[in-house]
Amino acid sequence: MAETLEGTELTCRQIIDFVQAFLDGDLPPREQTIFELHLTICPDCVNYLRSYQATQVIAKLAAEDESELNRLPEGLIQAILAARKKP
Amino acid sequence: MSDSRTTKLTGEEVALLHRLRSGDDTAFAELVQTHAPRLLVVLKRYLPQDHDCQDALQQTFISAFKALARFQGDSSLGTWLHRITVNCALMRIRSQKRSRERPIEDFLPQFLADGHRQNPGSAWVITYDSAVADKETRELVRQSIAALPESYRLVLLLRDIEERTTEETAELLGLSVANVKTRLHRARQALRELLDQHFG
Repeated sequence: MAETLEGTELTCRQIIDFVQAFLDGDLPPREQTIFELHLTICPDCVNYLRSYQATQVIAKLAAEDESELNRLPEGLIQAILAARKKP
Repeated sequence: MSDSRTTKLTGEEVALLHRLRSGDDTAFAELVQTHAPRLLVVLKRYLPQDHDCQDALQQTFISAFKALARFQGDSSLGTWLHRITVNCALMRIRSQKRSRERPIEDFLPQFLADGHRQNPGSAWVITYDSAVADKETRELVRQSIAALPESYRLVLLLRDIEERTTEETAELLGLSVANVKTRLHRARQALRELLDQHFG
């Protein structure tokens, strides 16, 4: 990201802006440490971080769920197969 | 097809591919019946309208049939068809007239002047098991993904659902790598906010 973290203390807003960089290990070591320090004193940001991670997992699980696969309408199957023979 | 050292096809798929390449009608029917229901689920993530999904599904198989001769067997047939499906969905989206998107800022967390979150909420009370097991929860999550502005939803689908790399996603969507990273973060934030109303 173009922006960088500055200073020795961070606001919750900065934590949330940089949470992806933190999780990806993209923050420089000093900023990573400041970030971790904030997490030790801010339960709201810990909750945010956990729910941010959970969002990715839950999104994938729900999107890829195949328990409700439906049989395709026969007309659609026939249309696909007929399209193969069109010039 | 590549030789047996590199192919990712099962013995059944090799046999099916042979029948497909020889023009066997029953092989084409088998390919469609086996893979189409799953591919339709994929298309529904990208295209909100059923008729668009059905048209894109048809286009997927037409493209696949045409490309059979070039298929190298370096992935399973299902994976190969899946990639064609995503490309067809993206092509369809590109060809459609864009409606005005709701700004992503509407979905992002709000902050007080001192940098604290306006509504920090509480820890989520949901397990991954319940997210999968409960039909209503699955539907809620899918609807929340569908509610994201399209240019952010596509990045989230490609990166977090398809697990494409940032570089691949950038190429598929015609964006810079930095732009993909920014959009992905905002898409995740926005989806988290939408889910927070239910899980927080």
